[in-house]
Amino acid sequence: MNWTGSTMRMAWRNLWRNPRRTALALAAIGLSVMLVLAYTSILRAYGEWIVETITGPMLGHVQAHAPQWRKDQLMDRTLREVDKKLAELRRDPDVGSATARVYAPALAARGEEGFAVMVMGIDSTAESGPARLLTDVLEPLREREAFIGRQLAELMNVRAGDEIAVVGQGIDGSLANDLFTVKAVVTTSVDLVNRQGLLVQLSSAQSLFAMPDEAHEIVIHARHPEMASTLARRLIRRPAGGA
Amino acid sequence: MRLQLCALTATAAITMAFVAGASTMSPALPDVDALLQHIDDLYRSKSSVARIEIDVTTARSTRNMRLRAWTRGEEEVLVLIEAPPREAGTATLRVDNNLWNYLPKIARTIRVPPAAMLGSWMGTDFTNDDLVKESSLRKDFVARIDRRSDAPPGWWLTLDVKPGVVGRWARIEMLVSDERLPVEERHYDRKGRLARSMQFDDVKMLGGRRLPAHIALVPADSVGQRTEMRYLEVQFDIALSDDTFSLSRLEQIRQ
Repeated sequence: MNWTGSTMRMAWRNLWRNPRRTALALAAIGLSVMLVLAYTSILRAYGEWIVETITGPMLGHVQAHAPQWRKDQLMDRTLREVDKKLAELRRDPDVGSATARVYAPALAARGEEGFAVMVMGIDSTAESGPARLLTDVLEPLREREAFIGRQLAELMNVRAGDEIAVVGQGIDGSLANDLFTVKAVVTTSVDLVNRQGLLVQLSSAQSLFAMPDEAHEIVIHARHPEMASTLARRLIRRPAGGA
Repeated sequence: MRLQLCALTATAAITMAFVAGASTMSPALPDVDALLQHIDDLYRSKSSVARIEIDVTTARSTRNMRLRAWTRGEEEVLVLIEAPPREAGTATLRVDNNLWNYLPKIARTIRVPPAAMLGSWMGTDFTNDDLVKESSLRKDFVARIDRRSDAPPGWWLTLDVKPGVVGRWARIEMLVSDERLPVEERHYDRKGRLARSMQFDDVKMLGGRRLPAHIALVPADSVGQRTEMRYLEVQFDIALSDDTFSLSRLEQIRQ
């Protein structure tokens, strides 16, 4: 088709030949575009919300563990020099946040009756915030303080301010035991934490389980979640063995 | 001449067959129940007091503990850790199917819940369940003689868990020497996989009876990991007061 000046003039005249029809056509086109844009936006926001809900509190976008840990979760399969690795990760422009965790099965007791719990050593400051593990916590944990999952607290009949004994096994096989004060009863979006979780500060867990500067997991949130696979592949190629 | 040769050959063949038959002739089959009863009572008798050394080796560390253990019957056990200093005074009490740990560092006694029974006992490869279920082999398993062992001479027993019994092991294979002493045990989990094996050796006189003084427990799924237990001293059938196996004693035992 040859778009000459006469064609354009003819089109322009036709638009004004029936102004009502033209207005209706323009309105229909505008409404359709608006609906498509709205639908795409809602769909994309919903997708991002789902990803954030799933990955935000617990999983992150990239995880680093010692070899075999995901298979058997043995206490002594740890990542070492964790502080250094976290510092390196936080300098990476594609990394939004990086935090380390300790997972240790243990017994907890307020009185004589022991309950099987999962002690989680966390950085309570880094794990707080919208769509993170701790969404409604105001103050970070200090040494020998603990947050306890709501269902576990109900089972153990524990309230904020109670003192509980924690007994487990250090990674050197030694007996790990200490007393913690419950700072708050928390409800998270992670069922395991609500049912079995006893959250203590990372440094407290490292000290209790004889694992200084070690952790079982580093959780990384990427700046751009859609680039998580690329980020993971790049981190694996690092000399430190993927964090 | 030819007949003589045939006769000689026949005689030799019969003699050889007899000798061969005699050499493969097995000793009489033992009474399985009596054998298990004997093994159960080997380290325990009516009551016992023992000093034990335990070495725990993992891929990244080795740990040594010295214990003192009191037992009475099949249901009462008290174990006190005497060394290393960091864990000295820690004690475990078992009465029937209940298990308590006393932790001197925090001055607390904690009852071990059923959910934690498969957890490690004091960082060893033994589980809390081993302490509680120790005496129930005859109760929970159906035992039969499986085969003869030539080296060392003895019998392989197979113990299959009875239907409806809840527990970790589906099957246990046990090699018992002709001396009626345990030589090896293999424990298979509910999926039929070998989970761990135990070797018994260093047979010597302890407390007036011959028994293996050294037991090595090797988990099947952890390379380089093992727990070795050595009996240093045992006394059998000595009088123990009732309060030996009480919670108050558990908390005072350190003194």
